[in-house]
Amino acid sequence: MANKIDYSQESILIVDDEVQLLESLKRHFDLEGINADICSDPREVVQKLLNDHYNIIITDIKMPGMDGVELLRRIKDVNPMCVVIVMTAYSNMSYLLDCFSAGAADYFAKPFHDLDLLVDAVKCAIERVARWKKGMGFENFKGTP
Amino acid sequence: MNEHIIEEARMVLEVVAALVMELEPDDQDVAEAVIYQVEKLALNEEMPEEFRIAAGDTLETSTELIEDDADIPALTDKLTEHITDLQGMIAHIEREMRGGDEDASDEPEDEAGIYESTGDMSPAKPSSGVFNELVTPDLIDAFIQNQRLMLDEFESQILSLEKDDGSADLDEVKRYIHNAKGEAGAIGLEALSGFLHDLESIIEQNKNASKRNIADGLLAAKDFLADFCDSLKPDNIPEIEDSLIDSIRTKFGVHPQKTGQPVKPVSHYRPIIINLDAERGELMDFVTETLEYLSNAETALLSLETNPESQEDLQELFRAFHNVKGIAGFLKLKDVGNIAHRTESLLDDAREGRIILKGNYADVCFDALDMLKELVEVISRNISGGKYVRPEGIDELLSRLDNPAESSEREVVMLPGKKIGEVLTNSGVIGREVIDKVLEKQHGGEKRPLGELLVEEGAVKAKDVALALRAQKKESSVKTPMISTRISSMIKVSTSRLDTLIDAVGELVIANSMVVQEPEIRDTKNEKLAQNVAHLGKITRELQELATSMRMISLKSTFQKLARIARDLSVKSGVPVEFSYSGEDTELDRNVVEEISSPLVHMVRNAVDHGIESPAERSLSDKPKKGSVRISAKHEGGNVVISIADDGKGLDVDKIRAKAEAKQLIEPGQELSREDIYNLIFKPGFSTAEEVTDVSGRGVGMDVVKKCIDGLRGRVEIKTQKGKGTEFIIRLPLTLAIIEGMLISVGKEKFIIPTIAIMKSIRPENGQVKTVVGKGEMLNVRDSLIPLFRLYRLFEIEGAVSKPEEALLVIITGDGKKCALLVDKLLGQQQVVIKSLGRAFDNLEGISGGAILGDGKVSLILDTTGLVRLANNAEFAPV
Repeated sequence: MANKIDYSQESILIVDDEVQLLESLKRHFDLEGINADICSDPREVVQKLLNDHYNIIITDIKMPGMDGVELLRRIKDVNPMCVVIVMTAYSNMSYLLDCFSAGAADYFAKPFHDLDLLVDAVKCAIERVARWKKGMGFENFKGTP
Repeated sequence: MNEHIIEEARMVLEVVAALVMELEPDDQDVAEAVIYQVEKLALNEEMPEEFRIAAGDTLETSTELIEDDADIPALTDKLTEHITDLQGMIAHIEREMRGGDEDASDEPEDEAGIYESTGDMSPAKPSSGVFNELVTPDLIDAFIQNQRLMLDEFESQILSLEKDDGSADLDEVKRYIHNAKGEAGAIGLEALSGFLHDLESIIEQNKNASKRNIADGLLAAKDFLADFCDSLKPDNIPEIEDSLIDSIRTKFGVHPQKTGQPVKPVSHYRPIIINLDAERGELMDFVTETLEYLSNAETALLSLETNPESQEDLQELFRAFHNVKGIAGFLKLKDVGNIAHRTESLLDDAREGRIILKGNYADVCFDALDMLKELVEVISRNISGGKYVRPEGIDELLSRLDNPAESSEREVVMLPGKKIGEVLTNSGVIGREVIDKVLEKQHGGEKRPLGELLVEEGAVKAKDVALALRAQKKESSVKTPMISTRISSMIKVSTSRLDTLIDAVGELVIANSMVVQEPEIRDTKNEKLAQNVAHLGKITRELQELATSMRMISLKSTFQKLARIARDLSVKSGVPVEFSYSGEDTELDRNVVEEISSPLVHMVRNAVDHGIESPAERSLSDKPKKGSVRISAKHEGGNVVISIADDGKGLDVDKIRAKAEAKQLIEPGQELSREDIYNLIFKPGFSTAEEVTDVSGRGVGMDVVKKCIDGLRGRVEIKTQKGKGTEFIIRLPLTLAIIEGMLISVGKEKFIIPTIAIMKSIRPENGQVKTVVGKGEMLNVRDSLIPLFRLYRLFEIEGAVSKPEEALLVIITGDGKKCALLVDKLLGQQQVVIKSLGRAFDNLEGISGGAILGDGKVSLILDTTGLVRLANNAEFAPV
C-alpha cells in the first residue's frame, strides 16, 4: 500500500471460549497497533455486533454454546460485509468449506506456531475494509450515532 | 523467501481448489471466499512476481463469479485451470529453491534487490525492462489502446479544467489517473503505476494551485504518458526518469523535494491486481448504489400492488433491502441498518408465505423506503461535512416495522375502473399536465406502466401510486407490469471482427446484386418473387450502411488533440491564438481518421507558427490582437470536407514563386496560374518558413501532408488572400473500404478508375494527339501537352479500340501531374468495395486493388497515381 494504512481505524472482535487465549491475542494485537475487543461467549456476539458494528471478526470454530458455522450465519445476517476469519484446530477440509459457504473470508490453523500470520491476515482484512470504505467515499467516516 | 510461505501458498491453493468445486450459482459466500483467498495469494508480496501476476489473472476471473449473470460452470472450469497452473508454478518455485540452495548466499533476499543490483550497470535491464512472460502481447496492446483512448479524453478534460467552464473537475482527472494506475499495475508496469501514484499525490497536495499551473503539470504528465504508450512494446518497457516527477512538480508551482529526502521506492507499490475492491469501490459509490437499490425496490413494490404474491418481485425487493443493510452495517449507519434489517425480516415472512405483502404490510414497506431515501440524503450531506440530523419518525417507523400487523392500513377512496392518472389527479397528488407529459412519453415508445414512469420522473411518490392502484383495484384487470431490466448499452468489439463483418456484408451485397441481375429473376412475372427480391435488396443495403457506419468514429478526439497543440504552440511562440473547432461529430472511417491526424497536426502547426502574425503586426493591419485558427468538418456529397482556416497573413504568391525558382522547382519565368503557385508548397523540398523553428519545419513539409491525403484518395485545395488568411480544404472519402468508381472497358476487359482522380473525359479530334520526340504520344488540350497512355498496351489486351479519334480519353490526375488514358467506353459510375489483391501483387504497376462487380465478375481498380507516374516517365511511355 502506498500510504501505510492506519491499522487502528478498524476495531476487530475476537471470539473464543478460552479466556486466556483471548487475553494473549488481544495483547499481541495491541502491540501491532490494532484495537481488538474480545468475547468469550458466542451467544453474545450478535448483540455486540449490533451495538458496536465490527467489520472484522476472528472466531474459533468449535465453542460450547454455538457451532462456528451457525455463528457465522448470524454474523453475516447482521453485517453481510463483515470479514470473518475462522480459527480452526481442525485440518478438516470439509468443515472448513462449510465455514466458507457460511461466509467466512479467511481461516487460520491452530495451534498458533506463527502468530504473525494471523496478524497479517487481520491487516489484510483491515486494508480490504479500508479500501471498501474509500471506494464508497466513506474514508474517514465514523458512522452515524 | 522461505519454505513456510510456499507451504502457506500451497495450502491456500488447496482451499481455493476445494472451494471452487463447491461453487454453485447464487452462492455468493463461496464465491467471495474464493475471491478473498485468491486475492491473498495475489497480494502476497513475498511470492515471486510471476506468481502474483498469475494469481492476479485468477483473481480477475474469480471476480466474474459475483457478477449478476455469471456462468458458474464455465468459470469453475476456467478457475480449475488457473489453479492447476498456479500449483504448477509453486512446484516450480520449490524446485528452484531446492536446486538453488548451494548458491543461495548469492541470491538477494527480495526480488526488487535483483533489479537494483544489476540495473545500473548494464544498459539493458534484464528483468525490469521487459514484461513478464505471463503478460501477453494482447494484454499490452489492449493496455496501450485503452490508454490512448483515455488520454485524449484526459487531455480535453485538462483543457476544459483550465478554461474553467464548469464541464470538468479535478476529480474526473484524478479518476483517470487512478484508473490508469490500476491498469498499469495490472500488467506489471510497476514504475509507471508508481509514477501515477506520485502524480495523484501531487495533484492532491496542489489542488488549490492556479488552474494554469495545474493544467501545465497535467499536460506534461499526459505527454509523458502518450510517449510512454508509444514506445511501450512487449519487449521494451520505457524507463521513467526520476527527474520527471520533479519536473512535473515544478510545473505545478512547487519546488522539487529536497534531495535529502528519500524518494519512495517504487517497489513500495502493489505491483499487480485488477483490484477487486478498488473496482467494486468505484461502482459502490454509497449514494448512487443505495438509491439504485431503493429504486429497484420501489419498482418491485409497485408491481406487487397488483400481484402481491409474485415471488420474483419479492425476491428483488428482499435483495434490495438486504444489500442496503449490508452497506449500512459495514459503514455503521445505524438507522439505515435498523430500518433495512427490520424491513428485510418482514419481507422474509412474505417470501416464506407467512404474510401477504399488501395493505398495511405494503404501507410500512413504502414508508421504510421513503425513510431510507431521506436518510441517504442526510448521510450524503453528512459525509461532505454536514451534521447528521436524525429525521423524525424513525422510531415510530421502527416500531411499526416490528409489529406491522398492528398498524392500520391507509384508507383509500375506492374508484374502481378509473385510470391511474385520473385517480392520482382526483386525489390531488399531481396535476393533469404532468400526467399528460408522461403519457406522451409512454406513447413515444416507453413500454412501462404510467405509475412507474411517474415515480421515475420524481413526479409522485411510489406510495401514492400504490394507493391509487389500490383504489382502482377492484375491477381492474391490469396485468403485472414487467420490471424493466437495465442492460448496459455498449459492448466492445475488436476491429478485426468488425472488418470481417464488413467483408461478409460486402459479399452479401455482391451476392444480392448477382441474384437481382440474373435474367430469370430480373424479368420474372412472379410478382411475389419480385417483391421479395426487392425487400431482400432493401435489407441488404440497410445492413451494408449499418456495417459501414460501425467503423466510423468521430473527429472529436482528433480535434481535441489539435486544440491542445494550438494552445501549446501559442504559449511557446508568444502569439496569442484562439483555436476553435466545429463539426467534430462528423464521422469518418477509423483508418481515415488515424491517417489524417498527423497532416492536420502539421497544418495547424503551420497555421499558428507561420500563418498568424505577431500581435504587433496584427495591430498594424487592424486585426484583433488574438489570431484565430478555425477547423471544421462537414459532409458534402459523399465526402467529408475538413477545413483549416486562419486569419493570418495569407500566402504570398511572389515569395512562393521566388522560393520555388531558387530551389529550382520551376523554371524562372515559367507561366503558372495562381493555383499552380499555391500548389507549389506541396512540392517536396519546399518550405516557406524563413527559418526552422522549434515547432514547425522539422523536415515534415507540406509534401508529406499532400502525400498522405492522396494516399487516402482525398484532395486538398488552398484558398488564400494576402493579408486576410489562408484556408486549406481537404476532401476525404468517407471510408477506405468503398470507393466511387468509373467503370470503363478496354477490349473485353473492364476496369475501375476512382472517380476522384478523373478530371474529364474527351473524344479527341483529329490532330489533337501528337507524338513528341523522346516523350511519346501527347494530347494537346488547350495548348498544354498531356502524355497519352494506351491501357491496352500496358495490359496487353487484344481487340481494343486503337485510334484515339474513335476511343475515349480519360484525363486523370495524380501527384499534381496529369495523363490521358485511352479507353474504349465509359460504362457508368458505381460504388465498389475494394478488395486487396494480397501481398503477391503488391508491386503491380498500375493496379491498386480489385473489386467485384454486380454481375459477379472481378474487375481491377486502376492505380491512378502509379499510372500518371508511368506515363510521365519517358522510358515507359508507349511510342
